[in-house]
Amino acid sequence: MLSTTTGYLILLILGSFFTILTIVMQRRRKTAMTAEQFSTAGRNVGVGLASASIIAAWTWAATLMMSSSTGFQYGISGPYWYAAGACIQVLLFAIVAIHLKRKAPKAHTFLEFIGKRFDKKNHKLMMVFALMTNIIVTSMVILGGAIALNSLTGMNIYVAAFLIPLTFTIYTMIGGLKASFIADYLNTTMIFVILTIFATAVYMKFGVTTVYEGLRSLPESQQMLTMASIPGLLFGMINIIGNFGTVFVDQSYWQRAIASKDSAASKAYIYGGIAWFSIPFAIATFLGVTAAGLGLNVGDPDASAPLMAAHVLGTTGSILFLVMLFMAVMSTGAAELTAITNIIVTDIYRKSINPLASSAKTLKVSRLVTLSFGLAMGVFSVLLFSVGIGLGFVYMAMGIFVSGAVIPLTIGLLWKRATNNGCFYGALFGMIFGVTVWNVSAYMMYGQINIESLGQLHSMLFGNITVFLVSGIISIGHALLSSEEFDFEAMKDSFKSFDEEEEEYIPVAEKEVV
Amino acid sequence: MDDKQLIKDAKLCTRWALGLTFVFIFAFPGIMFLTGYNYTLQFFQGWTYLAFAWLVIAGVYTIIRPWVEYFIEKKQSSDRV
Repeated sequence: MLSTTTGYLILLILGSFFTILTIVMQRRRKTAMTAEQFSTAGRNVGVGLASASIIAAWTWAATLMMSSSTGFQYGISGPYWYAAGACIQVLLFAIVAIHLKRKAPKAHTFLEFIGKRFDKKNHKLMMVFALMTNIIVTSMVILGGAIALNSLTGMNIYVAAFLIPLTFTIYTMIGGLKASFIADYLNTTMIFVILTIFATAVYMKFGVTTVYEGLRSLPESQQMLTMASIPGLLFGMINIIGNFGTVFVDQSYWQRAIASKDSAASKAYIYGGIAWFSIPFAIATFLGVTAAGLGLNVGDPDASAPLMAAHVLGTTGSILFLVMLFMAVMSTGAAELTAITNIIVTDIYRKSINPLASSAKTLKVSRLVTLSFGLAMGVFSVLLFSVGIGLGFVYMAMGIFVSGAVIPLTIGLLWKRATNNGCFYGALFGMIFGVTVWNVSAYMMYGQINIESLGQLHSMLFGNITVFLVSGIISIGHALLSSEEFDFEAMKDSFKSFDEEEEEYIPVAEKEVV
Repeated sequence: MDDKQLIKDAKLCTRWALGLTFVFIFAFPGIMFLTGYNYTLQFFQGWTYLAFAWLVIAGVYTIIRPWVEYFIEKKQSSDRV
């Protein structure tokens, strides 16, 4: 185990490094930062940086910890199902990303699109889904980092939960989305480098044959060397369904599409998705499956990756793992923070509170929101910890709470016949029915409703499937029955950048004063 | 970028996204599941090499591409001047 000082030093060094880097970049800029640049990074990010950022945003602490846990528990099917089950959402998101570029080229958030495509009630409901997604994901990510810091260095979980958000809040507050992109690139680079070191070390030190023989010696019922593993398949299905919500309803992925050049928007998600696949696939194979094959004494499967890292490279392995984990936490945290900021500024502040806010005022509010939410995230993650719900539970249950919005949102963007009522009730009843089925199936199969029965693979699976079925049937069914057709072309020009809005409104306001 | 190009891009990325999804979720695991194939040592070796190679290629691509784009953009802007 590393010393607590190492934990604090990692937080301090990485936090200071990214803050100083952002300050230097800000000083080198020739023009002053505007609210538009803060929230969209100038809409000219290329494929490379955008895909690196997508990889960083989708690499959670869970990607590193839980994927290895699946490898340890389900054998070779675990890494595959984790990687494939969570990368297709990013690949499929490429389709909606390019449609957003076509239909709402100057939108700042996907909710801004929803606000113009549908009525007020849809906008409000989707905002609830979006904020719920951002808050749960951020809390999970921070809590994951805090638990890892606690288990590897002994650092107090509560202190870690408050210090982790500080590290990315400051640089995000100063540099906005662009700073988040640069930090994402550096974080992704480090993650790939460290993972390659681990994979090489495992291969050199133990070799493939030892691991294979170890896996073969395990009881056949564990199905470690076949893709035909039932628990692996069930996990895969939950992973596939649940992750649609965490990508499609999360503003941070829309944000990357909005910030990309037109030519880069779709390619970045395809390249990012394919490249991201390698991260959980490799870490879970080289740390999770190997730990099982070597018969490592792991009490909690979620801790298999850090234990295996220490087993392979000693203290260096633990430090490298911690740095990698922290990099993942930072970039996801920053991505979520900019997403929350954009939703609050664009869809609440500028829509309902102060539509005529100048660029300078909007920028000031954006920074204030970033700082406030950054600090509040620590509290949310501590709350999650206090409730006593594990990260694996939240990861698998998230789909039930947020995936109801996926089909309504997608058809709203892709299909002119999608209706206001169909999408609203589809999303709402999808979630309500999903939660109900989840609870009922837990009760019927395990005789009681508690964290343990709700956390079982079967109850989670039924809940997740119900959400999709109900929301899909209602939203698509209503669209098919209705004769409404939406005119996307007419809506296109109603989106304006903050700078354009300022040019339009301020002379009017000035004239009124005169 | 004109709308025609965006429509063309949309078609291309839709094919890629749906094709890869089919391969990742249905084709490969479907075959492996239905046959109930148990990994031999050679297959397991190939599987780990695949994981390693994929990691390295993805890493190199992700690290290098932003720099290539940056220098191309810089060159283009200096040519314009």
